[in-house]
Amino acid sequence: MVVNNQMKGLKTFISDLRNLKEEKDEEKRINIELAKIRAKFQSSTLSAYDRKKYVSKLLYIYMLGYPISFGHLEAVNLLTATKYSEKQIGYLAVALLLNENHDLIRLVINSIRKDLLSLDPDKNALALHAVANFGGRELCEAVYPEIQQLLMSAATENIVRQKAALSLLHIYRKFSDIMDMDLLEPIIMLLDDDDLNVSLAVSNFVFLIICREPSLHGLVCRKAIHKLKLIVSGRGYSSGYIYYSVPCPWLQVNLCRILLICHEEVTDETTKRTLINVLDRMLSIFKDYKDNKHLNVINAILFDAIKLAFAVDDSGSLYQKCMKCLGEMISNKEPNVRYLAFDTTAYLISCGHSLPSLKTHKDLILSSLRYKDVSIRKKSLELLYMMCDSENSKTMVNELLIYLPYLDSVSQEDLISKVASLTEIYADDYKWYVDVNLQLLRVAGKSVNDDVWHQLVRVIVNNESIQQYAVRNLFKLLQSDSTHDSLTRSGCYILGEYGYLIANEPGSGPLQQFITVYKKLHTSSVGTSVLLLTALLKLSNLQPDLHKRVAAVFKRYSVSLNTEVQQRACEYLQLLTLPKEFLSIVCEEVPVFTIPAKKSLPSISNRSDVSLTDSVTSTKEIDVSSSLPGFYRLCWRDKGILYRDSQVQVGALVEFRDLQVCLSLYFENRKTETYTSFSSTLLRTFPNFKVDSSFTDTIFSPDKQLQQRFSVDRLDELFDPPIIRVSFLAGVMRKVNLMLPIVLSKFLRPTSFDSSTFFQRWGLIGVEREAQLAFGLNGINSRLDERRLMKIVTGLHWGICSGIDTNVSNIVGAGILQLNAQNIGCLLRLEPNYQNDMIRLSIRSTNTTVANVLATNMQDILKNSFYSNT
Amino acid sequence: MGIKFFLLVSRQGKVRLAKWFYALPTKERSKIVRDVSSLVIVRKPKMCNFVEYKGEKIVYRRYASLFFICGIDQDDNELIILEVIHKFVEILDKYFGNVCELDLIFNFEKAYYVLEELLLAGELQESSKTNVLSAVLAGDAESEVDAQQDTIQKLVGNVKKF
Repeated sequence: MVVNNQMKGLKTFISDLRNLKEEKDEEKRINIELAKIRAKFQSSTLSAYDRKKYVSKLLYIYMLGYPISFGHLEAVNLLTATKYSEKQIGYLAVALLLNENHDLIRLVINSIRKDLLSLDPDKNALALHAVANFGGRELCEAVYPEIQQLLMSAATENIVRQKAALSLLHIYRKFSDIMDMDLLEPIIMLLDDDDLNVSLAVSNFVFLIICREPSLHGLVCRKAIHKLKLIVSGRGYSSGYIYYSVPCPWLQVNLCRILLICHEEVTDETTKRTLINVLDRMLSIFKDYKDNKHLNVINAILFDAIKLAFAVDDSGSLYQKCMKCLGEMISNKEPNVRYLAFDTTAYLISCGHSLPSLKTHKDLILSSLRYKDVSIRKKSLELLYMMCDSENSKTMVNELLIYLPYLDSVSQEDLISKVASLTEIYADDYKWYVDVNLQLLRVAGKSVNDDVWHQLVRVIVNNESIQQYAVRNLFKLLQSDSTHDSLTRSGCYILGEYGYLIANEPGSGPLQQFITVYKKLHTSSVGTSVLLLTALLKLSNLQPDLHKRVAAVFKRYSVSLNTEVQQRACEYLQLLTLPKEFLSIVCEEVPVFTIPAKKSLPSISNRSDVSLTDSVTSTKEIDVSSSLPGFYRLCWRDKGILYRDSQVQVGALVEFRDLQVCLSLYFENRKTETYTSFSSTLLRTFPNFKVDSSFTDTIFSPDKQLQQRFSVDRLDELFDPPIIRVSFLAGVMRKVNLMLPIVLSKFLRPTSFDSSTFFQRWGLIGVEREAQLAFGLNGINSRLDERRLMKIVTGLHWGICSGIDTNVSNIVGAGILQLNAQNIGCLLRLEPNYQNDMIRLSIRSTNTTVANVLATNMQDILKNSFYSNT
Repeated sequence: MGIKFFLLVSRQGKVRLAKWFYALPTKERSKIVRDVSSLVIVRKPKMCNFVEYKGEKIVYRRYASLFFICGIDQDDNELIILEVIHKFVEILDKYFGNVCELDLIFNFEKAYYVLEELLLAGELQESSKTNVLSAVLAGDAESEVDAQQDTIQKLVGNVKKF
């Protein structure tokens, strides 16, 4: 079908390269060609055809993996040409050779705009591809109006509209501030478009919208259910969209994923019924197409449909159907299906759905641990890990251990860290914990991660009851001739600390202990030797009989060729010559480790990433200054930016339901690079403050938004605003501390009184329970502004009682606070002085502390809210 | 959602097409290409079509001597991406008429054009095979007109010389 016989030179060049025998020749040939092309580009008589040919050659060389350092300008020249064939290759070359921040991109902005305005849809297409491919900020800003026009105008051809939607998606992903937010709703409306391709392109866009804009969930939800119903019931599309007898599977999948996020907006029964019926129908497809060669397409939809069905209704008829499907898929022989069935099941468990019938498949999942495909092994291990609960954990761990010796080293390591963390989560007696971990060390010592044995040592040190048992068993294991480093290290460490506990037992006297450690010394690596020397020192401290022997060993190693070992031996030898009291102080038993246990273990995917610190750090040490402006603003607003710098942006949304206060944080990556190890940790918290949900990803890519939700159901006591630390790797480790806008006034319910009631209560509470503060504003140019002041006071949930005070500029308000199931009335009188930009603030409350907290908080906010630039 | 990169790699590990849907320094790109292709090439035919690579999911499928490889997000739908790959192959097949690796080597730019019509910003933009094909052919037709004009001009030039 290809007719194009142009560019003979390019074809010859390619076949030349292919005929070369050796890699070296290829490089030589390419260097010659590059020199030739460079010379051609410098000559003044280059025809358009030649330029096209040489740029194509450059592209081919680039694709082979050679760096291209010139020819960019020629690519740009081609792009700005008028002929389509030149333009086409120019666009391709610019997309491949230049990155979005390249200076030359500026030269093509105008040309791209011209192509967007062109009446030729093919040129529109090229330009739209360009924006999606290499649209940096400058380009996106320049062409945004044209793209919006193309998408929204009815005159545009559908094929161009779908491209416009996706180019716009690129802009929304990377530079959402360029987007006109009023456009989001019309875009969602385009889901209804008759052309399924436009609808498909838009559905990708809508997915990102609902990730970012919770306020639009309701609208999206209705549209998506409607569209899905149309497709599933076989209406609203033409035959061109049927792919292997399934109507537009891509759109179906997208709609399922969209609904998975926003299905909670379905409140009325009819809509819910519709959705359930639609899902029921989708799940039934499974049966209809069993013989179809292209089960892939059906399965693709099915997995997303199952996830959605569980979320919508996890008890009714759908549940039965889903379980049946899942069961059949888990036992399916096709590796892809099995892999995804495991994946989906693990996901469902992590969402909190109980899947009791899964137990029947346990053996099959366990046996998949030995499947020859590493992907499947990994998934089955993940699933088994998720299936563990407090009831079955012991049997599960035992069964996993059976498989341990037969696995390859990568899977072993994975399995070990999972088993270690399971024993830690579900251990009700430490004996079991020690047993299992020792078995790990014995069977697969080489695959044991340092974290695992560190943790074992930490647990033994911290739990007195287990020390004797542990040291006895470790000692037994050390008797074996070949022990792996991790076992030797942990064993000798524990022996050094607690060897005296078993010194009176037969076969494990001080001398035997000494010999065991000494034997290991010959065969160990440097790092281990150092630990062994320390163990010997500790032994000799508690067992004076060993003193001489140990000194002899140190003497021998004091001439070791390894400086690390040598230094240690010399130092210890000196220690032995010092007075005995001194040695016993140096060798005192290690204190209990204070590091919270969980942290040291590798974080396991799917388990929540927020680690709640046990010890509450005092505020003064935590620097939250960078988030303070956002904090003050959000104290009286419900949504806005909490923090922003060149790398990340954190948006916040505060919602109130009855007495509950919910806070959602939205993290956005502002760069184009992906950050890794993204996590957030609570540095300061209080008992009523809960983490509802958190992101599970530690990878933070630019097009993604991570979300975290917190809530406070009720208040039992007064508190300081919580602080979280966000950390991530962007080349270097970045840490940002954020003070969360959860303050006492958020819990205030505004009320209003007439003049007599107000003053009656004001008098009743009395001046002795009043907090009064008088203060000026921060910032030299700050000016008090009446409207803004009013906004802040109402934003702080005070009900305004107007016309009460004789001085009209004064603000009087009231509110009720529920604390520890008691209602506490709070009254406010605020006297602004607009001439001097001063404020006097009086708060009276039945609870004096509440009055004080409210007043100081309000003072902080007011002081910092009137900067001249805000 | 969305595809992060799309690669065509021969059994020997030679790159036949590489399309990136997010910005990344060239150095890192070539590292990913190397790592991912060596990860995929050694896999046996009966294994599943998914592998994990540094927290990303790789979906691939082998057609004759070529591996078609997609990098996607951890929570994307793998099977539907596999169908995107299949669709791409179907279209190439229609376009070249029983496509083989050589077609893609000598007409690499065409392979890019086809992919461009199929995927935009990492998302599937066109689910109808015929539409993609006609879009690419329309481009070809325009080029053809250009080429004819070129020849005519050349001829005119030659005539003038005489």
